[in-house]
This record gives sequence, structure tokens and C-alpha cells, in this order.
Amino acid sequence: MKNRAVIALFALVLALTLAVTACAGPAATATPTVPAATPTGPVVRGPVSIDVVRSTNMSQSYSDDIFRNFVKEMFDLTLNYSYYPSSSFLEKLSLSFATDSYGDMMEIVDIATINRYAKDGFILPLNEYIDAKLTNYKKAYSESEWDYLMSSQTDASGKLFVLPVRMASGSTGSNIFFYRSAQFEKAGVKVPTTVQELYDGLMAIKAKLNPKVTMPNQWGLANVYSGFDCAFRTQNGIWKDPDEGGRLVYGPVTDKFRQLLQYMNKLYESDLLAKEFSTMSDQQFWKEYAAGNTYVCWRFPGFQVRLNGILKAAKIEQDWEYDTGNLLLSAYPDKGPLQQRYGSFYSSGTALTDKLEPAELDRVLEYLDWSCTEEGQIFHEFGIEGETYERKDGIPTFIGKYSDATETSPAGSYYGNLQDYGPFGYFLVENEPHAERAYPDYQITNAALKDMESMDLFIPIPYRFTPAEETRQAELYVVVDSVSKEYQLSFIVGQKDPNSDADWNEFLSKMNAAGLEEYMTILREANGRIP
Amino acid sequence: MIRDRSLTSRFIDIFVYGLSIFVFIVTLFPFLNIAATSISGNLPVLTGKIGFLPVEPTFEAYTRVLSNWLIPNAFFNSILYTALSTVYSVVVTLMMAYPMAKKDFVLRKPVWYMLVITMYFSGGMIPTFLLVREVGMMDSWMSQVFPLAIAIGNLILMRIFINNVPVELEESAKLDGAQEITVFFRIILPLIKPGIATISLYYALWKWNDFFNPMIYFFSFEKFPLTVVLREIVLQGSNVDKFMSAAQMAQPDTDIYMEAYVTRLKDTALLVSMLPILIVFPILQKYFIKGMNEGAVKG
Repeated sequence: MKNRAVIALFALVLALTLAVTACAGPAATATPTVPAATPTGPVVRGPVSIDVVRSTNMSQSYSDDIFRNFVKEMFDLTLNYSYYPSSSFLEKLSLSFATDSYGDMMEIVDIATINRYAKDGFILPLNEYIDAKLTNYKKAYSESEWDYLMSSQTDASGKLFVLPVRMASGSTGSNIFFYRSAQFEKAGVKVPTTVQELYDGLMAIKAKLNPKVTMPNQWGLANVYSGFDCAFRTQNGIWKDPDEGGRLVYGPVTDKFRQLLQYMNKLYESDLLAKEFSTMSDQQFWKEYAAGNTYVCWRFPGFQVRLNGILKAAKIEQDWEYDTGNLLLSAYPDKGPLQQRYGSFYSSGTALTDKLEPAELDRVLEYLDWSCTEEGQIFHEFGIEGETYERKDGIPTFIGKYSDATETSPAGSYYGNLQDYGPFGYFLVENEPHAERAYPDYQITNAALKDMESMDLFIPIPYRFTPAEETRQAELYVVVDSVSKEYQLSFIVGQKDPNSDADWNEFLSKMNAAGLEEYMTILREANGRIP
Repeated sequence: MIRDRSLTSRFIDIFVYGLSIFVFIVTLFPFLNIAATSISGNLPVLTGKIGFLPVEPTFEAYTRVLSNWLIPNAFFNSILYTALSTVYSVVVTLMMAYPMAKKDFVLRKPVWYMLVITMYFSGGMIPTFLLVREVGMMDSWMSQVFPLAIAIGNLILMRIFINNVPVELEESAKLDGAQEITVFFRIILPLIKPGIATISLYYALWKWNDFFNPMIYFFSFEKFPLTVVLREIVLQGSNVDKFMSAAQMAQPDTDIYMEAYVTRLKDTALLVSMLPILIVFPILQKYFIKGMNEGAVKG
């Protein structure tokens, strides 16, 4: 009898354990909330507490106390942070929406992703608050920049769901070419200004100085054209070609792109372009730099410090340079190269969700708009005066553990993010004077590239698709892109001859068979709907 | 045993040994390469000169990884979650296996069927997530210990072990006046130690390597275990700067070596994360193999 009682007791404990663990209860339905409606009702001033979601690669949780305390004191607003691992951010975000456990505000979230969730009504449209409550945010943009933002980052009905992070013009600009100028001189050739001069120069170096001269490539096929696409005034994708009156074209099927492919093929056949260019790892890429086999590089201004550092470590003459009078290469000297220009905002920003009550929303907007003022920008980039920074000759400078070179505690161990995103890993509008000091090389190159503002080369094309068009163009894109890449690779490595009209026409006919015409028609119509 | 010394047999032996050695080398090489990279200098790593052996050996990456808060903190979290969940899982598995091994337990069959069904049909991710949230375990160590505490495979293994204990021993103890609890602790438990070691290792390995559950249940950066932090570093390349002091990031030399530094830090972090299992496995291996064999041939 006792035996049975003990066994029954065990069984009872087991059943309870089962209930809590293995056998989860009846499946709860993940009901999407009702479509986002603008919260209405009276706004009451008082303490407000909200949940904020942030990705871990932008998190500085150890300094958030200073940040949160300041925001709480100034706005009576408590920010409760949840950190989502950046490597699985999307999975966790999806789960949070499916289980109704998403936060009130999301920082540094991808605009395209949030626009998708907005369709299910989770995200608040922000249009009506821009002129009323986010005036400082709007002020950070010029009129044309704002128009572009509203046409490119909104959904099909023109609703804006994310406030993109505004970049300082002082922190952005074109990539430029760097050369190992001393080696060009030693080989008896001048630093190139055209693609032909580059080819001749590299061949001369190869003949006179180094039997192995190579141009390594990172990040696959798409990146191999970097800099050369500017020289040939073309793009590997959809863009508005100024040489065709700003018409929307698919770059790879144009004559200019064919000439680019002919040039890349020539580099490949002459052993100047790395044979593994489409599959190179980062380690393989840098190995060539460290071995001193690389003589030309396309990167952002200021990169020569790193390039020369590699040579220094390898005990090779440090001669990487750029020349403000000679920053880009040209394939058509009569026209010159196109220049690169990035948008004035990041592809990520801050979104608010439908969980915000009217009082909460009001307070959050008040805080966000303040963060766009000069005072707010400095706060987000440098922290609190006297605690995290002090002004030296009027310039905010980190102090204490935030500037301690030997600090290994959390506060001192994120110098990279400190430089880029401030002690709190986040800002909505980047402070222009700070960016100008932090990135002096951009100022030099931007001044040299005077036509920068007139170029739209790397700015994404905005579209307003109908639902049917959106589905169809996505289907077509997969096929068109696949055929295009296959042929581009074949042309560069010589499996197809870019100089042969027969091969080129075969490529064009394959692209048409893949649906390029229909694809372009849809894109042109969708682009035409942008006001 | 008579050895077959025929030519065919010898050829097969050579082939099998050769294949085994080849597989051994192929498996070992990445590990050795990671180990060598983690203790090599920046330039050899940058120039791709690392094979099996370190070049310009230095333990600087280890010093950096272990002196920074990120990895030790995640390491501690992993040990804590693994230890707590393993102990709890083993205890509740034993508690469940014992009655399931008793033929006179009237509810044995229905409960057993209920258990086995969960091997094929689980509650699903979202209901489990909601359950964990509703019982207040989110962002807590409890979310790593209590949910999914029992693996049915381990339960079956333990039931087999308990069944294999001769019933005469149990009856003899009872004749001497032992209660059920005494029988369990004095007779059954000592005889199923290999089984306990086996399932402990299974549970510990599972929890140590578990990425998904911590990823969905934790929201605080400082509570993430090693798996989540490592995945961030290895896949995303993020947070590497957190291993570096301001001094290192500010020095031109560090910036120069960033690519190599990232590789070395990743490899060091990977190796550090492997260490506990590498240490524990050989110690428990004899129980592990014994337990697996016994569980496999008897039922």
C-alpha cells in the first residue's frame, strides 16, 4: 500500500511537471491587432513608461542608466529597453508580433522590414505628427531631401512608418580611388586618370616591379564593378541614366555596361583581376594587400590610414595615396565619370507601434523631437556635460572612463560605437559639426567632387506598386537577376565573349525571355506614380 | 579470436584504417586551425599563413577575451543555466522514470502514452512562448530551467535502466524493512549511475549548445549565454569592438589589423566556449559509452 502511495506521489509530481513543461496548453491564436488607428483622446501629463526594442549590435546597455535617468528627469519618461540579438533580430521581431509582445517603440529598425509589418496594423503612421510635433526632425532636411524621403520611404498610400536616421553631410560622400603612387612612378607611369591608363600602369608595374599584380574583390560579383561602374557611367541594376535623359533603365543590357564587361574581361584575362574575384573571402582579400600585390583600391576617404598600416606591418613602403584632383577614373574622357552620392538618411530609424496610449505617444514625440535639436543631438552623441564629456574650445570631448585609453570595463570598451553613435549607441539626427570633425577626409573629397549634389547614382529608385504589380515584379526580378548574373560572370571570365555580337545578342535575347521588358514596364509605371 | 589474415581482409583493414585516419584529420584540421589562429600574431593571420601550427605565438587575444566583461559574463551565464537545468532535468526525469518502470502503477500506460505523444507533437513555439510569458519567466534564468525540462528520449533510457535492476534486490531490501524511498536511493540509484551520467551529459550538452531558447526568452544583454553572444560575434561580426579597450581601438596599429583581429577574437571565443565540454566529456565518457550500450541492448 505504501509502495503505491509513494508511486502515486511521484506520478502526481510528474504530471505537474508535464503540465508546465512538455505539454504546453492549447495553442493560443496569434491575433494581429486591429489596423493602426491614430490614438485619440485627452493627453494627460504625468509619468510615462514605455518599452523600447533595440538590436544588440547597437546596444550600450551599460551606459543606458545615465541615458535613461536623464530622459526620465527631463521628460518624466521611463524607457524600458529590450535587446534583440542582432543576428536573429528578424526572427525575434516576428515572434514578438505573433505573440503580441512587441514594444511601444523600436530604435534602429530597418525601414523595409517595418513597412511590411505596418501592413498588419502594428505600426503607427507618422505623417500627421511631422508638421505638428516633429518639426525639429523635419528641419534637419532640405526641401528636396524631404521630398525624396517622403517619396521613397513611404508605403503605397504615402504613409511614413519610420523616422530614418538623418546622416550628417559631413559623414558621407563618394568612395574614391587610392593608388600606390610611388610604385606607379617607379614603373615609369603616371598615376592613372582613365581606365586605360590604369590598365597600362598595372601592366607596367607587373612587367617591371612585381610579377603578381592583382585586384582582389570582396563580397561577390556585384562588388567587382565598384568604381569602374562610375568610370563607365553605368550601374549594375535599375537606375535613372543621365545619358538617356534620366530614363529608368536596366544597366546590364546597355552598351555602356557591355564596354564595362569588356574592360573587366581584359583585366581578368591579363591576370590583373583576381581569379577568385566572385568567391573571395575577407581573409583572401586582405592577404593580397598584406603581400603588397595590390596597387589600386576603391574605398571611402580616410581609408589610406588602414591601407598604409597594412603595408607598415608587412614592412613594405607605405605609399597609398589619393589625389583630390584625381579621385575617380574615367572611361569616356569627354564626358568624365559619374560620381557616387548616398542618400541623406540611413535605411533604418525609429518606429512607434499601436501599443502607445495617447499620453505615451505625446511624450515620446516630445522626446524624439527634442533629440533632433542641437541640444538633443549633442546629448545623444556625447551624453551629459560634466559626466561623459566637457567642452574644450567649444568642442564636446569625452572625459573620464569614456576617454580612458586603458579602460577595459564596459564603459571604455566600445570606442568604435562611441565614435559613430555616441555613448548611447543611437541618434535620430547626426550632429553636423561633430561629423565634420570626426570625418575630415569626407570634407576634402566632397569639396573636390563638386558635382556631387547633382548625381543620383546610388540613390534607390522610389516606386508605388499596386499589389498585383508588387507580386509580379518580385517574381520577374528573381529570373531577370539570375540570368543577368550568370551572363555577367561568363563575360568576365571569358566563357562568353563580350566583344562578340553573337554572344551579346544571346544575352539580350535571354534577358527578354526572362521578362525584362515586362519588368521594366512595371517599374516605370510604379515610378511614374511618385508625385 | 582467430584473426583473418587473408589479403582481402588486410586490404579492407588498410582501407578502413586509412579512411578513419582521413576522417580524423579532416575533422581535426578546423579545430587545430582555430586553435593556431587564436594564438598567432596579426600579420600571419592577415596574410593567411596559419595552418596547423601558430605563427608568432601570442596569448594576447585570450587575455583580451577573458579580461573583457562580455565573454566571461556570457560564460558564467551558460554555466549557470547549464548546471541548473541539468540538475533539474535529471531529477525530474528520474522522478518520472521510476513510476513509469513500475508495472503495478495503474496509470502507467495512459501517462506513458501521453509522454510519448509529446515526442511527435509538441505544443509549438508560439504557445510555449506565451506559456513562459504568462507564468512570468521571461528574461529570467527560470526560462532556461523549467520549460522543456524532460527529454522523452532520456526518460525512456532511464526507464530501461531502472527496469534492468533485478527485482530481487528490491524485494530483498523491502524484506529488510526498507521503504520505497529507501529502495530508490539505496538500491536503484547506485545501480543506475551510468544511466544518470549518460542523461546528464545529454542534458548538459543540449543546454550548453542551446541557442534558440535563450534567444527568444531573454531581453537583457547581460543575461545572454555564450551561444547567443558567440553567434553575434561569428555571424554578425558585431560587438567585436567590445573586446577592445579604447586604447586598442584608437591605436593605428589596431585599426590596421582589424580584419586579423576579428578573426583571432572569433577563434579565441569559439575555443573558449568549447573548453568546458572538452574537459567534461573525457571524464564522463566511460559512463556515457557504458550507459549507451546498456540502454541499447536491453529493454
